[in-house]
Amino acid sequence: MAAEMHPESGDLVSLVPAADRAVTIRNLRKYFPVREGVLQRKVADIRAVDDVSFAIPEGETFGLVGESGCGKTTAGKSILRIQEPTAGEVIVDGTNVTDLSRSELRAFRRKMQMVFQDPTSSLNPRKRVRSIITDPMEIHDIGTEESRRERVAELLEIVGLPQEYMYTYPNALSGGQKQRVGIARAVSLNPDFLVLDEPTSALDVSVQARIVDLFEDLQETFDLTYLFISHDLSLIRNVADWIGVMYLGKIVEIGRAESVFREPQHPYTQALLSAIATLDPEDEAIKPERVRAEGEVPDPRNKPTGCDFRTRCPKEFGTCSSEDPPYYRVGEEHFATCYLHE
Amino acid sequence: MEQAKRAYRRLSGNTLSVVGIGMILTIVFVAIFAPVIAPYPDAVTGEPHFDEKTESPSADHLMGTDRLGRDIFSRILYGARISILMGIVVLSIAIGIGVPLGLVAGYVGGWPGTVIMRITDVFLAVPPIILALAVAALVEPTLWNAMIAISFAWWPWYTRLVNGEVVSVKEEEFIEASESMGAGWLRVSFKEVLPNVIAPITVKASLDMGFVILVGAALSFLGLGATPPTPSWGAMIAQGRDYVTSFWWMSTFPGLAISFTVLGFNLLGDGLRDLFDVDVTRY
Amino acid sequence: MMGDSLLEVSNLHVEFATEEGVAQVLNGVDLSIERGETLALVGETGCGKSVTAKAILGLLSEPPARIPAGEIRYKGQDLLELSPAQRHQKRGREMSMIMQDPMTSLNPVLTVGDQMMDVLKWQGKTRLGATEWLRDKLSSDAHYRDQAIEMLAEVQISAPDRVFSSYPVELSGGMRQRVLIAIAMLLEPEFLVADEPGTALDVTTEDKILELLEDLSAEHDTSVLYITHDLGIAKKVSDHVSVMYAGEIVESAPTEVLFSRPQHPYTRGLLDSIPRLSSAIGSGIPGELPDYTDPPAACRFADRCAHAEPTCTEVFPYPRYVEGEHAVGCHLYHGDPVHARHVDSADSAAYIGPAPWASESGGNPAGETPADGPSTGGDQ
Repeated sequence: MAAEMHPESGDLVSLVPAADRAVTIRNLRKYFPVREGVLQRKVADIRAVDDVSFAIPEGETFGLVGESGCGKTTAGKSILRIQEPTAGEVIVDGTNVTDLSRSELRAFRRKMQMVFQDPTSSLNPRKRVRSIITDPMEIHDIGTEESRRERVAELLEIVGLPQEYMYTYPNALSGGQKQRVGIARAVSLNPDFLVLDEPTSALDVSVQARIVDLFEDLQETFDLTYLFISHDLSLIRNVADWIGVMYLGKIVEIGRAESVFREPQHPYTQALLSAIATLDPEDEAIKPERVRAEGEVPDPRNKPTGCDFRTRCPKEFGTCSSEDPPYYRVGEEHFATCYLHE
Repeated sequence: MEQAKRAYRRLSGNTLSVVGIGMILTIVFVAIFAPVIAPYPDAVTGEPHFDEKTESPSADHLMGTDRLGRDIFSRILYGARISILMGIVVLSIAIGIGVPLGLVAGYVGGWPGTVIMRITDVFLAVPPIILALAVAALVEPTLWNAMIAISFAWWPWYTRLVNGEVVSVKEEEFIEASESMGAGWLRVSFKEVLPNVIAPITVKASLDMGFVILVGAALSFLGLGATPPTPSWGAMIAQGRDYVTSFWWMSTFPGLAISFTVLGFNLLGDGLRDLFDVDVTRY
Repeated sequence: MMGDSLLEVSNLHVEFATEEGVAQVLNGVDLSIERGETLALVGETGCGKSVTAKAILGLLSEPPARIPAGEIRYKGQDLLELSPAQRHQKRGREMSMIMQDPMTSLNPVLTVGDQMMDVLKWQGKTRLGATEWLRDKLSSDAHYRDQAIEMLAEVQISAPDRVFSSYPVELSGGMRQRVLIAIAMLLEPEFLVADEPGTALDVTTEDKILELLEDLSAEHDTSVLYITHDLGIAKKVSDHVSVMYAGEIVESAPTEVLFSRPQHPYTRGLLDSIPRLSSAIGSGIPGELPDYTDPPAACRFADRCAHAEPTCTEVFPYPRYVEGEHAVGCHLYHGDPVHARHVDSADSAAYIGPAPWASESGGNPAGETPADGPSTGGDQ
């Protein structure tokens, strides 16, 4: 049976039936201009996000995985238009977010929020917890002084913080507690979609487990859709229903989490998975055979011709340098962009 | 509350700033209670007592008398009011104009920012005293006009300071978080950025107090500013200028008063800077 | 175990004077490292592992730190009895440290070569006499240069000459970390402290750095104290592991033993929380670290422990042997106290065991001893 080809990145959204899609990303691009010379003329683009597409079913979690510099955080911010995307389409709950005007976007922000990576720097050190949590309500002019206060009390309970913390400053809290405040703030207006940008990377592993628990509870209780960005594959394995592996701004492999983890098809995914320092023999058994990515990540300004990964790929062969490989269907709900699957 | 307690403890541990605070409190006390403390309240109104003129310091006149027989000590006490008033008014205007401009320039950036900063640069290019002089010379020499003149020269320093601070605070994640929630630039710059920029403003303001008083004294020394018989310290120095070797007390004591005040504010400012430094790096 | 120790830390107490009072951070830490051995000191944020490392290397500023009790014996000699100058010397020549963040540990305005030559030529001296300076200016550095370049090659930098003349900002994170390792190994130290050297790096790069460290320490017979919060890494690189919580060593054992039969509730909680490929993530450990300025009198973990009993708050859970070299500081186990100082207070009445998992043959859900050692197999 010939491998079914989907040459367009945009077609990857078909992994999720249209009716189930809460979030759809099509051909998302974010380029940063490189300017040189006295007149600061643009000489090239850094293609931080280079044609990314995927869809997330309602109430589920899409894990966007990759090493630092692959563009996953930029993708997250572009999706929420915290940074303006260069091109592409983002549809959340049926609304085309990329088409909204600034004021429409502002109102729509109630539906989509972000939880940031560093709990210490994402909270204003000069504001008390209560003030931090009521920020969204104040910005969107929701509720009264009294009702906001009640809401803060409610939120503190939802995220598992004692009520007294309402009046403390962030610097008195531990990393995990600070992150809970960030989460309380993010869910204060009952959003439908949350982008979680490495929300536990700055936390200890024992704290991480509890925050992950909290995220799961919240998802279940409020039917939230998550885009979970991380570099930690084992963590993603535990939280994501779907996964997209990113390298140099592109998704190189995408599909249902079990499928991608049990049968990774792109050499980069295999390299990442096989490099995990595991603790159990079962984990060790699940890991793919050792694949080493040679050398270092190339300068994003000078991406290799053809497949972006080819300069580091141990399985590289002739065709790889011709042009960007299309997406091949490598499993029932699983695609990879690699000529090995021609 | 916690922060205030901690600040108090830390400040009180620093001897020099305690000394500075003590000095300032003395001056403020003197300024407020001058009418009560001054042995010769009429020394201010300018009634000459020619029979007592140019007397050297004695038990009756702690700091001697000037050419009109007025008690210098009393005049210095009243002069404190002028100095403090000048400091407060000038800085209030300077901060009131300079800080919001710096906030907007730093946070909004772009064309508004560039325009504001270039205008600021123009003002900064002129030495403060010269600028103040130029303005004061254009208008009637009164105390208020002197203060306005000095404010003209002062606000750009705050704009530049705040602009610099804002540019770095702007990159913090909590600012990004605020923007991602839909906050507009006005809210972000005043409610999120400003509280984080207060520290250097406070330090600068306390150090500036001394400097403003100096400039005010310079203006009145030059005859621009408070008119006689107002006992501004600078004017008092001017009056004694020709007699430094003979009736030395006429210039010396006002000079010492200025030094004392400026030193006090400098020590406080240094102490505050240390205080805020630790605060920032602790967390 | 006691005989051939290169480094032996006994009953180390470290306090810090803070605004809220005296923080009793290290509460009697004991460590021992043999020649050529790698010990992983594992613990989460705030447990005191960096403080321990700094105390060993003499890098704590006293004040605000204070060492009220304890010994740090390096080759038999108590480092705490040495003068700062003597410790400084030792630090340069026999002991070395690799810092956490390669971005900030290298001087950005000096080339890599300059920094390496600095170490080779002066070996930690802080003052230079005029004649020495003159002699240096007049003599050739060629042999030092060769030595440095050789070291760069040994850390698997492919163009050592080029890197030698580069500035840190021109190098990637992985390269910088290799440079740091090269600098640390230049004087062939017998003892190396590696403070989370992989944290700032990507997984694939970190992997290579770990292998490099393993190879180097094997070849030069260096003893390594490897500080990390990552148990996976600890398992990979070490021969022995000591788990630290709130300024105390709560469990220590040879690596395979610790991972196949973890005993202390904190260790088990940690292992449980680690996300795995094959099983669901655990639920973490509730609660927070104790306040060091007002620490619990007995067990510092009791308020977060699901198995704590009243006795845990009354009797200090001194480390005791449960088998061979495996020691645990917990009343769920009975055994002989590890340290002489606890013998008198040893109170078997405080025993609250057996532990609920004692019936299993192992500590993991799998219940098997892993077949592999610290270095995993696979294609090499």
